[in-house]
Formats: sequence, C-alpha cells, structure tokens
Amino acid sequence: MSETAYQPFKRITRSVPKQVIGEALNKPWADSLIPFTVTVITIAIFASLLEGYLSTVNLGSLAHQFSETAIVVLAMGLVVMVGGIDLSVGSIFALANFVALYLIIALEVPVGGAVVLTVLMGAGLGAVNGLLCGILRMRAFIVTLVTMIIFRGIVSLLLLKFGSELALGAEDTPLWSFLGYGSVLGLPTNTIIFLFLAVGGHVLLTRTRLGAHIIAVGGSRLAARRAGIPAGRIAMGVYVLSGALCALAAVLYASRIGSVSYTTGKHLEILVLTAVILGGVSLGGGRGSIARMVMGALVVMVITNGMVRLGIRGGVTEMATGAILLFAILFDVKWLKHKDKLLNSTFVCPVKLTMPPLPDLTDKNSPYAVNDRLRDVEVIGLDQVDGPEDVILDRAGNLYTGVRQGEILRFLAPDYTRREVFARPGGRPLGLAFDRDDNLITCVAGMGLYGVRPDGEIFKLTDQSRRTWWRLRDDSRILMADDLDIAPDGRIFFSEATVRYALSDWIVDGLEAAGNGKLLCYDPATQKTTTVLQGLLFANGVCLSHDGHSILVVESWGSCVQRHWINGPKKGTTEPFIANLPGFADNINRASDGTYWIAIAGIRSPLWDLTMKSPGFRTRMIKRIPRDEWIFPNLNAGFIAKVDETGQILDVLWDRFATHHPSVTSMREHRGYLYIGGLANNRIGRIKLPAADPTWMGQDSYWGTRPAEASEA
Amino acid sequence: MRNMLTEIIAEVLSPNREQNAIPPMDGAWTPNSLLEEAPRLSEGYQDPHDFCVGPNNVLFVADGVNVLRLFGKDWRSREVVATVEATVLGLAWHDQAGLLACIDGVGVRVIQGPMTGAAFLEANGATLLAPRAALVTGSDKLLVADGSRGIHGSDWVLDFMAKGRSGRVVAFDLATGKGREICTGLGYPSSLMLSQDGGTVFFPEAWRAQISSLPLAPGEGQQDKQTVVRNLPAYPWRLARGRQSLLVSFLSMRTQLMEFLLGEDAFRSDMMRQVPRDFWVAPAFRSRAHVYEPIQGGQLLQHGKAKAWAPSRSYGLLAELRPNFEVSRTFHARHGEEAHGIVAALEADGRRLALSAGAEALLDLGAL
Repeated sequence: MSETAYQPFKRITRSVPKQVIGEALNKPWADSLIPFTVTVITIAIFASLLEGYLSTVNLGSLAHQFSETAIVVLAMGLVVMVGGIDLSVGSIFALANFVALYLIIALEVPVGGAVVLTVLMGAGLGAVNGLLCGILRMRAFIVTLVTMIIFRGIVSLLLLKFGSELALGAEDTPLWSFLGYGSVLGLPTNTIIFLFLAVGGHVLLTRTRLGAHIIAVGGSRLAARRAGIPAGRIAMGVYVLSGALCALAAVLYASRIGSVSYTTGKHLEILVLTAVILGGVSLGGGRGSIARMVMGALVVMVITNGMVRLGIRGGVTEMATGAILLFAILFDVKWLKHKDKLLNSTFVCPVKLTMPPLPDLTDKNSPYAVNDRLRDVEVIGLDQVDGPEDVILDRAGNLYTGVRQGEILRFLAPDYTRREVFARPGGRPLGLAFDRDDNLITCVAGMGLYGVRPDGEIFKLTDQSRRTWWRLRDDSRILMADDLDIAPDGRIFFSEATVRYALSDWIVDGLEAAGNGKLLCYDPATQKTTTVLQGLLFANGVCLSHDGHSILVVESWGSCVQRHWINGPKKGTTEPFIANLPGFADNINRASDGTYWIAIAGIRSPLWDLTMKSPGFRTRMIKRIPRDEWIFPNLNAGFIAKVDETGQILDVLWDRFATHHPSVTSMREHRGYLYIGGLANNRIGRIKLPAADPTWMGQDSYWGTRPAEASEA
Repeated sequence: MRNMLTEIIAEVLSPNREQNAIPPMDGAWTPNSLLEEAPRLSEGYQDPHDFCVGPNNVLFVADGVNVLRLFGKDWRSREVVATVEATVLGLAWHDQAGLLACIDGVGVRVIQGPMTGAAFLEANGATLLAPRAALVTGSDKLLVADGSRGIHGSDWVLDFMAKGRSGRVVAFDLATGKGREICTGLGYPSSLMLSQDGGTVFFPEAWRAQISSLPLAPGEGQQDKQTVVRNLPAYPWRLARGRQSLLVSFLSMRTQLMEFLLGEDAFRSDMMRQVPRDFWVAPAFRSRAHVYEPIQGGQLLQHGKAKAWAPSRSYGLLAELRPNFEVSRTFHARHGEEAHGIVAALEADGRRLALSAGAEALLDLGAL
C-alpha cells in the first residue's frame, strides 16, 4: 500500500500504482486490451505448435487468405456497430464471385468494368437489406436470414444454368492476375486493398461526422433520431456499404481462385460474426473499433487455419468456431453489464495518510476551546440562499454569494433584505474576489475561472491548465476550481480542490486522500494557466498575504495551510503556515488588523484520523456500504479562527449549539463586521467585530482607497 | 465443515446474496416519533438501567448505584431505597423473595423484602460479572441472565465488539443459593421472560439480534435453546410480558456501518486501542453530540437540519409483539430526537411505561 506520510513538502509526484490501473481501465483504448491479449496468445500458441508458422512464405499465404475474409469482417463489423446484423454476407460473397467470373469469362467484359459492376451489384443487394432493416425497420436478424437463403438460392440456380460455361474458361489479363497474385512492396494486392479499407474505416468511424452518427445510431436509435440524426438512412447506408464490401472481397477471391462452386462463401457469416464479436464489437451496437475487428479476424483466421494445418477435421474446426462465438457473446454480455462496476471499483484508490496528533479541543486552555461567540449572529437571507459557500462585499457594501442553483446572488446594502440575481454562470460559484476594476472573479465548480463585470456580464478567464505529463488521466480541464485571490500584478492564484472528482463527490476525494489538489495561476498578460503546486490534499482557500509577497493555500484533508512565495527572496518556495489544525480548514481571508480569518468547516475526530491511516478499510467501506453510512468528517461542527502572520492562533469563534452555523466555509470582514457563509447552510450570518477598524474593507486593502464618486451610488 | 461447504456453494450460486441483511423498517416497523412525544413522568436519572413493579403498584428504578422507589399519583414522588457497591443492571420483585438487584460485577442480591440479604453470586465456578436480569420461577428457583462470562456488565460494549458468545442463563436454588448453568454460549442474554404456562423462558440475545427460548426442565443437565425470532432490525435488550402483548425494547439500531465493522477485525481492534471508547463506532444508549463522535454521511446537517432517516448511533425503539411474536406496533425516537435507549418497558396500573436512557426519563406511553 502506498503511503503519504505527513510530510507537507514531499508531495506525491508520481502515480499511485493502483490509481494507474483504475485510470487505465477508464481509457477508451482499455476495451481493446482484451482482444489484443487474446490475439497475441493465440498466435503464440499456434506458432509454437506449428513449425515454420511465422516463416515469410507461410505469412504471405496467410495474408492472401486473410484479407478477403477480413474485408467481410469489416462489412459485418460496421453493420453490427450500427445496431444491426448481416447474415447474408456469405451469400452476397458467393453471388458476387459468380457474377464477377461470369462477366469476365462468359461475357468478356473488361476487368475494370466487371469489378465496378460487381461491387455495384453487391451494393444493390445490401440496399435490399438496408431498405428492409433500416427504413422499414424490420428485424435485421430475420431479414438477413431470409435474404441469405434467397441470395444463396439465386447462386444455386445460376450455377445450374451457367456453371458449365465457367468451368473451362479462365482469364489471365495482367490486371486480373495482379488482383489475384500480385504484390506491392512484398504485400499481396488484396492485403493492400484491405489495409486501405481498414484505415479508411477507422478514419470514417473516429474522425468523421458520419462515423459519429453510425455509432450514435448503434448506441441508441431513438436517441440518435431525437438528436436529429436520420437514423434510418444511416443504417441503410451501412447495409449498402456492407454489400459493396462483400462484393469487393468476392472479386478478390474470384481473381485468386477463379472458380465457382456451391460451397463458396458457405458459413462465412458465422466465421466473420465470430471475428467481430471476439474483437469486442458489441452485439448491442454502438461499441467497437476497426482495430478490434481486425484483431478478431486475426484470431479466427489463425485458429481455423492452424487447426487445418494441424490435421484436425473440418467438422471439428466448425464446432470450435461455434464454441468461440458462443464464448465471445457470453463475454460480451457480461463485460457490458459489469464494466462500469469494475471501473467504479478500481477508480477510487485510498492512500494511507498519517495525521499528526489531534489538538485537544476539550481542554479549556486550548487555543481552540469551544465558546459561544457566534450565538448572537444577525441572520441574512434565511431560506433565500442554498449553500452560500463564499461571501464578499463590494465597495458600496452590497453582499454577494454563490449558491447551489448556479447563481451569484446580491443582497443590497444597507439592510440586506432585498435579494437579486447578479449573474448566472451555470456551474456552482465557489470562491469570490474583486479585481482592480471591480470585476467579480469567481471559481465556478465544474467550469473554471470566470469573471463578472459590474453590470453582470460574464466572461471566461480560463477553464484549462497544462496537462500533468505523468498522469494517465487527462487533468487539463479544470474540474473543481475552488477559491482564488489576486496578486498586485493581476495574476490570479486559484485552487483546484481535486482533479479526480466533481464537487458532489468531495467526500470520495476525502476518503481517497491521495493529494489530488492543485494551486494554479492564471496570468491575464499571457492568458496562460500554469500549475504552481500539486499533490495538495484538497486545495481549498487561497489568500494573498498582506505584504503581497506570498500566497496562503489551505489543504482541507491535510488540516494545514501552506505559504507559497510569489515574490521576494524566497520566490518559488513553499513552507508551512499552519501545520496541524484540529479540523478541516476551508476559506482564508484578510482581517483588518493585518491578520487572517480561517473558516474551519469541520472537526477531525480520533476515529477520522484512524480511518485516514487505514486505506484498505476505506476501500472496502466505499465498495460495500452506501454513502449515507460511510464514516464522514464531522462537518456538523466548525468555527472561525483568527491567525497572525506567523500562523499563531489568536482567537476562535464557535457556534457551540450549532444554531446558525454548524459548519463555516467562509467569512469576510467588511467595515467592522464579519460575514459568514456555509456550503450546506440556508443563511448568511453577520456579526459585529468590536475591536475591528470600522472603515476597513478588502478592496482598499488590495487595491487602495478610491475616491467616493467611483463607488456605486 | 458441512457448514463451510454449504457456504461456499451458496457463494458460488448466488454471490450477491445478502446474509442476514438488516431488514427494512417498514410495515409495523415504520418509524414514528411516539417515544419522543410521550409525556415524561419523572426525569433526571443519571444512569438508568432497569425498573420493575413492586407491591401496590410502586415502581423500583435502578439508577446507577441507587435503587429508587417511585410512588404516589403518576409516580411523581420518589425516594432512594438502597445504595449498593456497583451499578444496578437489573431489578425484579417477587412477593416471596423481595426486591432482587443485579449488581455489576457482583451478582444478584435481595435488597428489600422477606429474603433481604440473600445473595446469588456464582455458578459453575464463575462469578456473575454481567447479571442483567433475575426471574423467580415456581416457588424455589431463581433464573439469572448473565451477559458475559469475562466482561463486566457496564463494559458491555467490549463484549459487543468482541462479538461475545459467552453469555449464560443460570438457575439458583432460592433456599440454598446454589447455582448451575442451564444454558451457555449465548450472544448476550440481557433479560428474561417467563412463558404464560411457566414452562419456558424467553430471552433476547442482543448481539445476535434474536430472541431465543429455553424449556425449563426439572433435570440437572444443560438445555438446548431455540430461536424464536431472528434477524431483528435492532439489538433487542429487554422482554416484558404485558396483559395482552409482549414488549421488546431495543438497545439501538443495527446499522450497515456497524455490521461492516464487525467484519473488519483489524480496524476494529485499532479503533479499540487508539480511539477513546465514547467515540467508537458502536451502538449506544444515548448520544452526547460531542464533536468527536463518529459522523456518518446521512448525518450531515443540511440547511441546519438533521435528516430523520439518518443512520443513528443511538435510537429509541420499543416493539409490541403479539403472543406469537409477530410485531404489531412500534414506538420510535429517531435520529436527532432525545428519547433513545429504551432500557426497559412494562405495564403498570393500566399504563404502559418505558425508561429512556437518552432522555433520562420515565416515559408514559398511555393507557392500555
């Protein structure tokens, strides 16, 4: 088990192994890992069983046979991905084989023309399927089963009537021979064509609008149609493509073999379906990739071909193919059903966190001793605010707060009874700060760093930073911007509480305690966002020191505050400001007398500290019991602390009976009053600070006093 | 061995089955606030553990080391009748014997009445360390429920954490004071109740969340117990016979966290070593709302309010059972309320009464 011992400056700067597994499984390419492994193992087995299996000669011959089947696999794969199935591929293949040879040998059509005509005929047959399944929405399984029989019947009739005409003829124009036996750069022609098709198919599926539509229709036809995608036409198009691809494969086959028979293309549908499902293309539609289809085709090819070479009888080979198909379908069903569960259970990976000894709150002489100073708080906006995480006041004394509905509300001075919606960023606004020009800058959870002009217009500052190179999971999108402060030069320092979880999952980050938080810096001059610190245990409140030379950043789960120097001789270094708080600190802000206010949102308990030391226990707890039953940090009690420039606790304000402020997430001093917010509260509190400077406000402290006429009337 | 095999087979056949999942609180178990709303007849108990009815409808209440007598209209008057050397865990009145007090770590003593001074202290070589209930049957026999063989009654939480199965029922000869075990290996028998015909004794096994029964045979040997009700949603604490129904009061709810923790031996022992006892994840008769008490997700205050359905450390629960042990009605005090930890309930003078450790009060649940 990995360990984050309490060493404030030795941050986790590498991935936790279990975390890597969890994050890897969440990658889109993780789905291909299983087919890939199966492919490698299969090839290894047959290569060891058969001598000379990997020789150039044998590989060349394999490639010849493989490519035609593989093209049909692509056809089938695309149809399965769009949510259908095409059982008539074998019959179309047989019919096209006959037609191509008949055109060339009996009717003496030029090879080029014959190829085009045959492919067109294949597309036509596909269109029949497409019309019935895609447009008329008949069941693909039944429809293609029927067309399979019909097309096969046509082949039989044609063979009966014209078969003899083809028996003796042969074609040996250079183009025809090139198609059948030629090679480019050592690769057989048909392999080149297949590779071309595979790359084209990959580009189609992953890089084009049509590909996205195919996947969408396969995923949910109804949802796709509601999103304005012509689902019927898309599905029909894929059937047409499937028919054309089958015909093309048949042409290549014809050019190589040059004969017709009743068994051409027989059971081909089962073979390719096996390849498709084995490659992990889901029978339900909407999931799969070209690469996986190719891997599936390889496995089936190697197995069937290998068994023939081992001298195993035909019947047994067919049985084996059937068994593999059954197994693949079973796996497909189970994988789809349990995939998310598996991902969820591997994503969260708690880390051992050893906290320093818990400061004793119950001791009367403790600097944190409980009192009842918040008892007589004045209540503002009772039941008019839902979770005022942070509060701030403008120069005119109006009160701003972000709430759960995704709005920034404004309560108007002087009595704060009138409420209005100031701005509606959409995500949940957390930290708030005014810049030099009285723009309200805010960290919006789920969105990033935004600003609101005094007239309420919203503008985006940044929503991404540089990706951390050693993290598998892309952490460049700012997932949970939390709090900010602004340096005199305009740089905005803001915290990203965690790069792995959204705001609603804060507790999961707490139970993981892997140091997922960052301190970021947005520079308006360059419009770049850089990572200043990472590995923070829930980076929360951010505050610029009074001298403007350092940034204080709170680590909630670490119960500590760090000081990071941004100017002066220690620039770029970090040191502890407060090392061991008795609770989970939240926001930190300037006080009028050159000190700081810190909101303590919850209290550490002996049990919580023990839980932090037991990562295995936390992992099992998260998996086995519901969230409402988990051991949580005690956020039903909290207080406000005042600390001086050295981090010494000067004073604490408690709400002993949790009447108004069971948990405090922010406080803001303004003109002799302290305004109090709480993430889960339904009110804002205000308390008079008798000893405070009654003229002091944050704006003046940061940006200097301004003539009265500049402030709002 | 066979048990293990069937376990393994069941695991393979249905891996997601829940073993003794805590039953949902629905039907007759649907939560209400009847206990919280009940009038409080007398308050201010420090450490109440049990009460019983004496002659002329007086009540005896065990409160810490004191035994009080409640009398007068609505039992408004009270006086201390005895003070003993340790906490009184259980009380019983019998006309021929007198007032029997179960004393923590000592045994059972008659402290008032005809046999005052008689003591019943040990059986099969072991002192009654956790005597929780005494019951006189017939004219000459005293049954005592001893919760645990090694752990004092006031330390019951240690026995709970150890998943103790050393409880026993002991039979004493009233005349000679000689005792012998009649049933052992019990998961904390915390009270005793005689069947209507006097031939069977019922007792809750709290840690097993079940009610068991034992036939009272005249012979010498040990008897096999039978399970009467299993898998209750809370830890049953005391059984009492009413006029038409049975009353079961409960220590507190079983929670999923607690059940999970009982399977986490390493963490549990770490907790017992490193965390003060008051702040363990453990069932409790009352919560003191100390900031160090463990908090579960559902307990977080939203808009300053506690959710009534939140998992709760302590809980008030009293169930009324039909004679066939089917639940017919329940009384609750939910999370955020006070009347938790119903240590005992009974019927007296046509009223139903309950003693709550959380509210430190005697509750009046109304006329019958």
